[in-house]
Amino acid sequence: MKSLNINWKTGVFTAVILTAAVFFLVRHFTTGEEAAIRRKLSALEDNISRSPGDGNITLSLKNQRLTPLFANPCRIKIPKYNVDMETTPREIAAQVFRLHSRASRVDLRFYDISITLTGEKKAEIIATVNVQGRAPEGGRFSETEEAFIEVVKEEDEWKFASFEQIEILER
Amino acid sequence: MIFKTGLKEFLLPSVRRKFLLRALVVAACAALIFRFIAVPSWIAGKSMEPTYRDGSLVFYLPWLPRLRPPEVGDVVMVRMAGRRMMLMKRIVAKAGDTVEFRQGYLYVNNERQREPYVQYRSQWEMESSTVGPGRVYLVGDNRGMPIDQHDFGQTDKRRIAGYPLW
Repeated sequence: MKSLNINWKTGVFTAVILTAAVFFLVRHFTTGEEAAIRRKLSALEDNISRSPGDGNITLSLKNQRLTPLFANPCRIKIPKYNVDMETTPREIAAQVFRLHSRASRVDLRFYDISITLTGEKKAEIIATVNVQGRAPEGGRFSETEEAFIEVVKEEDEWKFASFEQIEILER
Repeated sequence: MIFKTGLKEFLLPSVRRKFLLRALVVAACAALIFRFIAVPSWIAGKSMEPTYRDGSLVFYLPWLPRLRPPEVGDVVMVRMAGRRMMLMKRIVAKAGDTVEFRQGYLYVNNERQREPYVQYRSQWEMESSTVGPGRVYLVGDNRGMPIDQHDFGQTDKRRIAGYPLW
């Protein structure tokens, strides 16, 4: 194969530009408050999701990691199912435990996440939430909704303070 | 020999400036087409069956709603928080219309609608609802599923993100 027909000055210039672009991209996605909030959303995805191979110890660890992710109280509003309540992190963890015992696979993912910092210790998230799963007897479920999520900073950690389903289709 | 050289050059081209430029132009055109002109999207769900099958691929045109406003009968993509996950439904009524289901049949302004695209039908019942200003009423083509399991209703026209290509 013939060697690349580009002079060394062009090569060095391209390498510098690419390195700088990668550096700024990595920095943008890994530091700052927005990145910290994104990491909390990832933690929520990981700890609510379960794969068929997850044993009792894994599920128990996931459940323990869920509680510190939520503020106390945490408000949950789902107009589709007439749910509007304030709950505690422990109760949320208990509900997830029940879900894990009823489904052999659960997959939670956030898409199109947009984060707005509304104060030093407050932020709002708008995202599409997709939950898919499979019951042990084989029945599948899938739900996709747009959500408005509020997060607050307590003891230097971002915590989920409210989840609200945004109704896109109103009967 | 010529064929061999041509094939070799096609499969393992020499990395020259001209080749890099050509590859860059092809990649840029592909990104432009599949991002802004005809965006590929997988269908997950059965609410538009039999018109669109679960698991099939469609391309939608995100620029078309700006040129041609949505009309009753159109199948549209409805944006959620963004465009990575969207709903696909059919417009059955426009602002000011009343929508109702009686024994599985759709009534708009008290008139039973002819819907050749509906092949599965169950006994849906829903009281009359008026479509608000700036909104459209959307329902999937699959009426064979229980009404509680089918997402339908009115939404803001501004949420319409495109029309499927076919």
